[in-house]
Amino acid sequence: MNINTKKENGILTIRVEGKIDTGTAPAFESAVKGEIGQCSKLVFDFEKLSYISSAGLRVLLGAQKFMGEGEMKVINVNDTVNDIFEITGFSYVLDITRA
Amino acid sequence: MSDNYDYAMERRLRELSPELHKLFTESVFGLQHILSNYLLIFPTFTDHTELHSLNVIDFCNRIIGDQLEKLNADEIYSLLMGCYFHDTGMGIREKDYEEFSKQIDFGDYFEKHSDASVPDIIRDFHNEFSGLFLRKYSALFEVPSEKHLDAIIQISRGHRKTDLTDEKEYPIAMTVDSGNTICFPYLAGLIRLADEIDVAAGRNLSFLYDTETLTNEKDIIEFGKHEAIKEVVVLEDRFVLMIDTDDEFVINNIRKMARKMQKTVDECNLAVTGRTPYTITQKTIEIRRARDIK
Repeated sequence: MNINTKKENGILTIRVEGKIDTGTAPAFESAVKGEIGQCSKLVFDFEKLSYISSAGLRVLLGAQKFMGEGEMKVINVNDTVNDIFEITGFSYVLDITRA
Repeated sequence: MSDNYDYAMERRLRELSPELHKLFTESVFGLQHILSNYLLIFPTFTDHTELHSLNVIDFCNRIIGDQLEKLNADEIYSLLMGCYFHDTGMGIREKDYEEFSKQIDFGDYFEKHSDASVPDIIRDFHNEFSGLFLRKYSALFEVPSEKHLDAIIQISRGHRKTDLTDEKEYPIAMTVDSGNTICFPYLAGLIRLADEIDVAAGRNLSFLYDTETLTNEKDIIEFGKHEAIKEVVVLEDRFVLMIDTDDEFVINNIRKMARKMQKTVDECNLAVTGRTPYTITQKTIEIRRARDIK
């Protein structure tokens, strides 16, 4: 898993490449923790994310709790990851834009 | 155990019954708001929100393993709902507390805890409050029948204290309208176990919980244990707590917790294995140093 972060005008964009699973979720959590306190909006760009496990989903939902509703978007979500949001019910909770 | 168990119940439910799966997913939105209410009463407690529910579901998926094929749609729906509802009692409003506390059999609790505060009572009986909460507000979640409601309530209540071998309270096969049966002791045992083993560092996301500001000794010990347990691994025959600490105080507390966990594993095995068509294959709790396997 690779993570790139970019901050512009208070908007933090976190691009994740590869898989977020039990092994990589702690690094994902650390990356979010490192930057989340200093932004007004948060965008997760999942164009190159192939899979997200329950441990990764928790970090994503935690980030939404931290930011408050409407201040976080998940963009470029592929079919596999979108299906995970749908089967778990979190497609009703997260602001998602498909690829 | 393999990643193949990720979201296994959710996928299987959608396959077996898109209608029940839809009811489940639509409930998640409301539940995630309700579950956060525990912070109003217990601001320094470890996570009891939907993030904990996700862990409980994930552990259930791994404990069930290949036995998932034997579970029907009504059982999976009831279990998934129970995973979300089991801690709703931790965040009940004052008005509901007044109403529900009149319906709970507290036994000799107040003789033993004469100075119990309302938060103490809520914490110690939160499984009962969860059941009563669901009974009162079930229409909000469009629970499909009274029998499903009974199942979810009993499964949620069963995550603590209740006797899962009581066949009247926990029937091995209750038939619902679809003709399917629901095995109460297995489903309640799964939540009890999954809830008990959600003790790793990942439970409390580091950017949501500031452990540096804790002052209560009990909270410090609780978070200290969680921070030292890097992962809980579900193997075919046991649960492994992967720890990374040299602090003897923390290690002793983890050992103490592991003994309590072992009792839960034994209780759940007694209620499920041999009495129902299902098996809890995990029999023991092991503590292992994370660095030993790096």
